[in-house]
Amino acid sequence: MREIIIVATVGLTMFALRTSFIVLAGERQMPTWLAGALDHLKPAVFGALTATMLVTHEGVGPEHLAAVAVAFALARRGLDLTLAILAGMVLVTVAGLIA
Amino acid sequence: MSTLAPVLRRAKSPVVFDAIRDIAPMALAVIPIGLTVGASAAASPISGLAGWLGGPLIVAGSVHIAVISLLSTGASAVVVILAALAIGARFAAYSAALSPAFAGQPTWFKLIGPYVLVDQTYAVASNRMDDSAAGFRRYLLVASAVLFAVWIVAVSTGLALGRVIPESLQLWMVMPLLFAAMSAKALVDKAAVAGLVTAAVTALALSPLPSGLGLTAGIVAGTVAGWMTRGAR
Repeated sequence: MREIIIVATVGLTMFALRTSFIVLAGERQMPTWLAGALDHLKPAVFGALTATMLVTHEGVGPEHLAAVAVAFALARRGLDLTLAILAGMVLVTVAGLIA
Repeated sequence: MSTLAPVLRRAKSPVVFDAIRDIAPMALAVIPIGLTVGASAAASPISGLAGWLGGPLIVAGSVHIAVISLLSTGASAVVVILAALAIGARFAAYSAALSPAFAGQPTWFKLIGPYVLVDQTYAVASNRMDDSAAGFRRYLLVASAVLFAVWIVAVSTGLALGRVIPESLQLWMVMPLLFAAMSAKALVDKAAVAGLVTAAVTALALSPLPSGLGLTAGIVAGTVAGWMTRGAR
């Protein structure tokens, strides 16, 4: 029961974080500096997430970094996201078979 | 996801089509994570119900897995909630970033719409903020519903079956590959490059910090760097 209450409390906390600014929307104007900064949120989120996922996983080797570089380069050249991911996965799988 | 196009061509509305097309690769990428979260809940000493409830209630793999591992080590409720706040802090930033599209929306949508606000839904919904109010509403609800359904099925399957996918398949790599590919598409100017690089370097440097603080610090540092570089193109 204690565990369920803690999980539910964490769920409520997440709900509060997610709705925080949205429920306030329309009530008051967001400060312009904050709105300006948020325009630059997305690249920061992608960069921090990619780096964190790679570094926190055990056993990351050069083939994983190469796969990320390949997916990045292919997407940069306009390739569909799914195909870019697929190329990276093929590289990692082949490297895993060879090793 | 262009390969899904023939299947979806009969979708009633272009917005629904767009939402499903955009969220599909993300939904595929969260499957291995959901399975892992479920399997780690099954392997932990906490009750199956408590572990499963994190799926529909927390709706965030990173937070969910931290809660499971902290509860397993007998952490106090306060520690668990503080860790969850640190890891989930970015959701407040997503809330702020999307809030202009919620101005003037009905109250029910302000409460239900952000329920599945995670990295993936933010990534797609942030491109649709110039849609009409009804269009944005439909887009976010469809994308969120698809992601939520896939997530719950994946977590439940992992919980029921344990580790079903062999580690050798390395499916965990799908997620970093997805975000790397999305990074490439997000690099529209110098500010974006500065933000991305600063965020990645900061997150790497601070990754030894507990409770995902490195991730949050990276996002903050990258956002500030992008903001300070603005205008330089």
